[in-house]
Amino acid sequence: MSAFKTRRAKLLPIIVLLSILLVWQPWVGIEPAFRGVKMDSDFAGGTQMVFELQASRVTVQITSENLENVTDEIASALETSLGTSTRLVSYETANRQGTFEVYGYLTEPVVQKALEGLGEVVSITPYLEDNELAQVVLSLRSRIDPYDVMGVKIRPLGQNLMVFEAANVDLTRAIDLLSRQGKLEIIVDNQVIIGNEAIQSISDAVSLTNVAYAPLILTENATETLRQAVSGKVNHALVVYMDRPANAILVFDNRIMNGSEEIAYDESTESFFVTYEATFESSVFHISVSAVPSIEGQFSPASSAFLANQKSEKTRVILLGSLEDFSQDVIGEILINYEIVTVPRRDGETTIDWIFRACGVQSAPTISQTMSAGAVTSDLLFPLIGRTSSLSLQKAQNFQKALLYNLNCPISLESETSIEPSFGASFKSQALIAIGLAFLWSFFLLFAAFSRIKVALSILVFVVVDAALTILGISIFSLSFGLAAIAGLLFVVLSGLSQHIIITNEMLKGVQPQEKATVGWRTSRALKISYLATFAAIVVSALTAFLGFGPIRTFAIVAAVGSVIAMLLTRPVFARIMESVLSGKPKMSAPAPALKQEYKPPSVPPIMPKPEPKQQQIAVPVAKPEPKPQPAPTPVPELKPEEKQQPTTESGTKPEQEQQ
Amino acid sequence: MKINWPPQRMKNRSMMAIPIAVAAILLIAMLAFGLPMGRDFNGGTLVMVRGLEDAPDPIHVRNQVESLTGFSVDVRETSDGFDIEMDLMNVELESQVKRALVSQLSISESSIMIGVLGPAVSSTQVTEIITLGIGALIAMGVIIFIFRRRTAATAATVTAVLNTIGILGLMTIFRVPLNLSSIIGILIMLTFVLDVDALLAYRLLKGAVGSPKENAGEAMKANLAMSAIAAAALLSMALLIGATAIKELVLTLVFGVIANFANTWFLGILLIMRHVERKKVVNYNVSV
Repeated sequence: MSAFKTRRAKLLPIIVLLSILLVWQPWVGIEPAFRGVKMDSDFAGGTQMVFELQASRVTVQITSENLENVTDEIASALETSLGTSTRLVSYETANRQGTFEVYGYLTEPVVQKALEGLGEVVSITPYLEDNELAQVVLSLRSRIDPYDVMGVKIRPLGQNLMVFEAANVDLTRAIDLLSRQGKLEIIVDNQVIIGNEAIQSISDAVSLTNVAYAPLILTENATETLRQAVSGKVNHALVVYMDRPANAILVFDNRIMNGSEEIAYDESTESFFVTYEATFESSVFHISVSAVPSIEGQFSPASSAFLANQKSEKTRVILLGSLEDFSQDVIGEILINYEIVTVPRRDGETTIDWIFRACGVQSAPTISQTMSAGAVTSDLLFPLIGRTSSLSLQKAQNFQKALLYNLNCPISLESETSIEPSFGASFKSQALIAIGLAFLWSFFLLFAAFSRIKVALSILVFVVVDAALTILGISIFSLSFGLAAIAGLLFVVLSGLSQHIIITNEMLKGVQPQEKATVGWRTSRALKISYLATFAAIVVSALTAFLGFGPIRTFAIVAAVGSVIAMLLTRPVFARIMESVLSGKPKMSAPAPALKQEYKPPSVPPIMPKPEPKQQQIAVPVAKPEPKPQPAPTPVPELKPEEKQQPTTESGTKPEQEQQ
Repeated sequence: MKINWPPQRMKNRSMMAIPIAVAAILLIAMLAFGLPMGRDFNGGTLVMVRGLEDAPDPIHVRNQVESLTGFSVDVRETSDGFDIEMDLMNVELESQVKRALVSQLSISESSIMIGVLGPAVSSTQVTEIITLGIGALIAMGVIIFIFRRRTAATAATVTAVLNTIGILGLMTIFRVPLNLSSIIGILIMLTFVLDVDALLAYRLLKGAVGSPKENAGEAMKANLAMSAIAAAALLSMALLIGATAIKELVLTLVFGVIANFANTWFLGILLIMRHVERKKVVNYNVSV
């Protein structure tokens, strides 16, 4: 009987070949590699980025004579001046020192000014509570890897840092997604109209031609506020900011403005302004971020004076470009009073896009006639435009995610570096040797268990087939191949090995020899055992994927995919091949004497398959393996193994009633 | 020695007592010595060295730091330096490591940053893992109950619970830290139980014609083959692969395979066999 007569058996080699080709991709390179699978940072290395959360504990020596409610007054003063939330952590009555948790970029002069004479700053220490760090990890993960299957690692470092590690991610996008607090401000005529508290809900980003949108629904109060703010302001710009650096000064080299017509610098207000076409005339809006130019590597006296005067108002300087783009004089002058953050220009970025990005401008639609006439609804839709339609959609998605998973405190990128694989460079060679040795061991033990080379080889080949098909599943589901995927693969291999052994064992020694069960019946029974175990494994894996997280979820998905493939494809084909292998052995034939005489076809014809006279019925196994001269096999109709049949006993009746 | 000697030679009570006693001993070991929690649960210390033009050999760095701290250390190269990850260090040890890096590897102090690396698994996720384990056990039991019968479901659930105790106990004794990889290993072993349990259920409960003890012996031969091959293959991986996470995963699986074999051999079989024997007695009484 040929093992490859069924459709599944014919399909299996084709699928295995396809999976090898898809994973190997020899058209890309001939050397063996898992090209079709996304390797995670454990295998392939990747990128490590460190982000800093701007949250601090500020200890204040209280100098105010009036001690009643002084801590509340300090907290309120800090909140008002710094525009951030503040809370009292502790107060020591003995030395009159209060410690406050303050979110945002802080410097001592800024905090001192914000205290309004109520106290003096003793220390500012970067600090965020552990539970808040955990919350930040969750939010960042939701932004970049919402299903937790990309192998992204985000872990807190110290009290205010986050270490992010990943392979196969778009770095620019990762930075855009992770280095945002998600603080929304909608400004009309330099007045903040609404913020995050105004958002009732935000829908998924949508794209229409080259423009994308992230539809917002405003609360009733916010809708009313917006209605009043835009009333009569037709053609004014409604500027949407995310993480506007209100407490920073933008420093730029004035040469970048050459050839830029839409955006210009206004020296009188130390800010940029944008010219746009309104209905009948040109109009302008100012970007609500302070800015000063460096001209030929120097600050003008006015700019120097502005920088010096703002040290108790502003906490940092944003350099439009990298440090190398500015002279030492400029850098030195800034560093006297401020921290420096750089925003280098991206490839193909226009000046206006660059400045908008540095200033957090997301969109600047004009107020329509109907809106200014009071037709403001709670649905707010504004365009988010990138250079291409996909970049527009990406911008809208980033905006939506940052807003949806916003943080309590600002976050900034501190460093970025590439990392080597955590499994080490020698992992591949170690794994190859280990796998080779494991196969050798397995072969010897399988041979010892079944005393048949073909059986041992078949089991091992099917273990490899299981693994190959599971890797194809990993590739199709775009899962990252790391520790979790290896664990899933190990599960599939171990479970395959066990079930192949069970199937083989069941076919060889499954029921008592006197039963004379057909090989088909044995196959069917062996497969039932395998199906029960595999089905249970699929359900448990699906539950694990649903309830689990991170690597546990990836593992469970790989295990479920591998189990489904095994149940549908490899187990039935293996059983059929094992039938063929065992049928080919004379010593596996039944002691036939009684068989010819005692066989009776089942009494209920409809359940009988069509007889196939060319095939032989073989009774397997035999209790005593001594080879005896066998009579010619009886030409009795064979029953197909997949179909439900009852074994016949020597007397032609069913074996003892099943106990269940 | 025959594979089916426990069911043939031993009394039911003795058979049951062995795995329960072993589980109790392992539980006591866990309580006495404490289950070693890994960096995924406890966090650790991350030493970041940056701004180097020529990074030193990571194996040399690892040996230096391991000899100084006595911790298991992972060193990973980066484009301009390297990271050292290890168990949580105290301030004194941190300064010793810093001094060693400065003096022995000629790294400037400003290039070194040492920080406490938070756990990869938050407290909420620990609860999720426990829920997940219980959910997996229940799901497993329910499916076997639906498709087979209560006895098989009980045997699978009891064996899986004892296996988990066995794995954790052996991890305690051999000081293998509990990390996410070990959790995945335990989950794998929960489902590994299914194969053996399904085999036993079919051999002893469904269409069994011979003596239950002989059937159990045959089933255990298959289980022995499965377990021996799995253990041998996994051990060769544990010995040859240097990556800590893989080693931990594979060692967990080895412990699981051993625990599963022992628990099934003594307890899983017993639970199903007792049911079969009781059923036979009932049938006999009815026929009389």
